[in-house]
Amino acid sequence: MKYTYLTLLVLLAILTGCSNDAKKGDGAAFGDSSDSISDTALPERSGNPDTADYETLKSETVLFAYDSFTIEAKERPKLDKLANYLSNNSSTKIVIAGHTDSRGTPQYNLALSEKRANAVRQYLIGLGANGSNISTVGYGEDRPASEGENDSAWNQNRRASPGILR
Amino acid sequence: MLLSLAMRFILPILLLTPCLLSAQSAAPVIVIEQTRKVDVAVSPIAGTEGPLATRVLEEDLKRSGACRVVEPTAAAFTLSGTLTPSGIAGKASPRTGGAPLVESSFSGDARRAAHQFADAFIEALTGTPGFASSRITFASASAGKNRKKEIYISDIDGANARQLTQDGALGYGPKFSPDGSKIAYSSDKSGYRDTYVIDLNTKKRTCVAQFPGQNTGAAFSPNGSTLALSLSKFGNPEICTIPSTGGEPTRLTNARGTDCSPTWSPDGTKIVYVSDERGSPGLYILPATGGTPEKLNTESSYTTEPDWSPDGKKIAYSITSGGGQIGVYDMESKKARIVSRGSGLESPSWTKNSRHLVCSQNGTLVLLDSMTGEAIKIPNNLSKNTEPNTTR
Repeated sequence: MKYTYLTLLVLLAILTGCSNDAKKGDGAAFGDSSDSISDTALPERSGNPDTADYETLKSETVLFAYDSFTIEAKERPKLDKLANYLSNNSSTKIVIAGHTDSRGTPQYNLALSEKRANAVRQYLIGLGANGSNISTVGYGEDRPASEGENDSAWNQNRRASPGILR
Repeated sequence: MLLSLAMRFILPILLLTPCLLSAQSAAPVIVIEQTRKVDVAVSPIAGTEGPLATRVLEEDLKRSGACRVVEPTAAAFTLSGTLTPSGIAGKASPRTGGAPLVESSFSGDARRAAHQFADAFIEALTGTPGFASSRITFASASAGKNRKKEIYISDIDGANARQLTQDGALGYGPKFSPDGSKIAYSSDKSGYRDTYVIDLNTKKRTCVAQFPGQNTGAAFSPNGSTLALSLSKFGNPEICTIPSTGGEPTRLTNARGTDCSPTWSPDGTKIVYVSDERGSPGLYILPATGGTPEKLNTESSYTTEPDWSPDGKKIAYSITSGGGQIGVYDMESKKARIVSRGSGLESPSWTKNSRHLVCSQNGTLVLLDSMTGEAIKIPNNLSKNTEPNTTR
């Protein structure tokens, strides 16, 4: 069953990826209202995302296109590694912290950053990770990785960073 | 009688040619409407606080968009006042003689009493409530990568600004309750983004939503009993309602996209909100008890932060695609137009008259006249002001 979903996802990703590059939903795995995967409710809160360790898994930070919460193909190997880490550390609880660049309005950026974190969590669950160990938090545009107002800074800021909850 | 009297002295002073404003996509046209202003004068108010009261009154009258302040000899109405122990005894007399348009006592300190005098005059003159006595709440940020955002309150002219929260966290989206006695906002001071309600009378703060994930964007229903907000406990940000004192959520949306920024129609039957389920974010309306969402065709892409006018006829919103402009959608004609000039504008909040909007513009608060496109600064000495909300 799981493999059917995954095949479907890949197919959808290829199909829509070709036809509609710039728009959200280009990966179709997330954000396309026609797919039938249901979201998994978030677990009860644990730890404090503010004091989580974002260094250990820093290289698994997922980057996003402008105004998109789609996990792009080039980012997926990072999530394979992260899923692997979670399976080897089954009692570790992590938080996915979503972020946006400085463009756009405050509430939407908050929600979009949370949605990016949700998309990463959902993808990890799809890879077999235990959803009850993965929390999410959205910081909107207020925790930039880089403070500049240019493409390079914006590219770094549109991200979802995994943190280990202590 | 009053109307004909007023009409005789009304002078068309703004005859702006409609102009085109370029924006991305098939943007609607900005219509600069012809506005008529009534000439008024303020007699200097005597006493220690007199000059302050006079100045505040004059500024309020100008800001109302309905008046032009002129010399007494040219004025259709002259406003005069006397400072009393409890406030101001005010009178607005027509030049032609006859009964005063306003003759009443206004209580509070000189500033507050002057605001109320201005509002009473504007309402008597135009039939629409004035907003000079209104207050605003907003977030203001410190600088840097680890910035904090605290919630503030001030008068609508920028005076009396004071800090409400000292959370040392990221405060977002403060919104007044309908009677102005409470403010709902969200903060990540617990580590996660929760929704709080501050009671301005008792100075108490209550956490009303702390479900897993994000709890943000809360807006009071017109009767104050319910909050609409965006919750992500389902694994996705969705529009929900909860009792305004906290409690179990009722989920209204079930989409794959990012749903946020709900606000109510003034009759409380509908909610307008933002969703990006069909690509870039747009505005949707749905019954407040749940149902099928209907997309508003604003002819702009990337529209967020809707706010329903107090008269129910219009919805204002931010247009990010045009570099930061304010749009207004007319519910009856189903037509949208851009009502701002310049760039960097966002977060519109209607004032009582359903004409002016308090917005932020590149971190400064401004009062935007949706009929003329004119924006004037609301001064304060704070930086990075965002998400203003007005009392109604």
